[in-house]
Amino acid sequence: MMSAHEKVTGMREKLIYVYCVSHKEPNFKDSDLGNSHTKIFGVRVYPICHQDLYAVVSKVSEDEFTEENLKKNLSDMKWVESNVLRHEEVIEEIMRDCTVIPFKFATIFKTEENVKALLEEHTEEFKKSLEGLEGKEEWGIKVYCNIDILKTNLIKENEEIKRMEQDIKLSSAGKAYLLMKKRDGLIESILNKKINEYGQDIFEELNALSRDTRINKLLPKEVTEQKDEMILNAAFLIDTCKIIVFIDTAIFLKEKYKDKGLNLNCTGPWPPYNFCSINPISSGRDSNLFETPKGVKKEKAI
Amino acid sequence: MAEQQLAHAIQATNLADILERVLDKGIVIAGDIKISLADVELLNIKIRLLIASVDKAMEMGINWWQQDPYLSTKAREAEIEKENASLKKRLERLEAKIKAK
Repeated sequence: MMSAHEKVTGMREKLIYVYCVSHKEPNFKDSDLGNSHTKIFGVRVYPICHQDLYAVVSKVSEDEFTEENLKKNLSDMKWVESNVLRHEEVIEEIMRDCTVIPFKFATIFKTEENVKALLEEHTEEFKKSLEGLEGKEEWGIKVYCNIDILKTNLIKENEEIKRMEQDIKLSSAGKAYLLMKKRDGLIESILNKKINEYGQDIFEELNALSRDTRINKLLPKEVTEQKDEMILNAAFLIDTCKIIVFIDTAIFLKEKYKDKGLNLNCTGPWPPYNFCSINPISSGRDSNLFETPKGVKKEKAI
Repeated sequence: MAEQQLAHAIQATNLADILERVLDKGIVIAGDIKISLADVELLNIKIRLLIASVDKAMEMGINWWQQDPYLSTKAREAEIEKENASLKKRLERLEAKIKAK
C-alpha cells in the first residue's frame, strides 16, 4: 500500500496527517475516499494498523505542513478553511461505519513508524475510549437570544415594571429620570434571571437524555455571524437509540422558547470531539453551570 | 422526519461550528511537528477571535449583556466619555483654526 501510494503522491508528500483512530478497518468502497474528494481536497486516505487499532491518515506535503510552513499557512484563512473542512469531512466519512476518536487539526507525524508508536503507547486508552463512544453520537446545541424581543416581552409581562412605567408617567421630569434609571436596572436584572432560567431549562431537558455533556465557551458574534447573542453552547453525547427523542425534544424546546426571543440551533451527528480524551478528565457533571459560569472547565487550545 | 428539520453537521453549520471543534476540541497528541494554534499573531482575525477571545467570552459568562450599551449604565457612561473626548478634540481643532486666522 505504501509504495503504491508514494507513486501517486510524489516526492514532497512526506508527512503523515492523522485524522482519527478507529477500532476497525474503515470501509473505503467506491474506489477510495481520496477519489471521491479529489476535486475538492485532492487527498487519499488510508489506514495504518497496529494493535487492532486503525489510524486514518493521509500523506501531506512538506510545503504545507513543516513547522515553518504550517505557521505561514495558519495565517491564510482560505488555506485554514479548506484544510479544516477536509479534516472534518474525512472523519465524517470514516464515522459512517466506524466509531472514531477524532484528532485535533494538524496532528502530523514524520513516519508511519511514529504513528504505530503512538498507537502502541496509547493502545489501552484508545481502546477504552472507543469502547465508551461505541453506539453514541455527539450533537451540538447552541442557543441564541434576541435581547429586544425578550426585553419587550418582559416589559409587557412584569407587574413591577408596569407599575414603574405608570409612576414614571405621573412624575415630574427629575423624578421620572431617577425612576427610569431604577427601571432599567430592574429590567437588566430580570433579563439576567430569565436568560439563566431558560438556558438552564433547555440544558437540563437535554442533559436528562444524554450520557455525557460538555458546556463550552460562548462565542462572540464576530465568530458566530449571528445577529443574536449566544447564551448556551453545549455538546451532548447520546445513545444512538435515543437520538430521535433528543431531536424531538430539541424541536419542542425551540418552539417553546421561540416567542421569548430564543433561537435553538441543533447540529449533528458530529465526530465526538468533545468526548474523547486519553488523559481521563474528571467526568463531573455539573448541572448547575448557569449559576457559576466561572466553574466551567476550560479546555485549553493546544 | 425530525432529523430533516435539524440538519446534518456539515450542511447546516457555518464554518465557525466546524472551526470550533476541529481547532479547539478533539484529541490532542503531540505529533512530530509542533503547531501552535494559539499563536494569535499569525492567525486571521476570525480564528484569532475564536481561540483567543473565547476566554474573554467565558469571563463574561452569560453576563454578556453587561457589555450591551443599551443595558449597561457603565457602558453608557463610557460611551458618553468617548463622545466628550471627541467633541473636546473637535473644539480644540476649531479654536486652533480661529486663532490661525
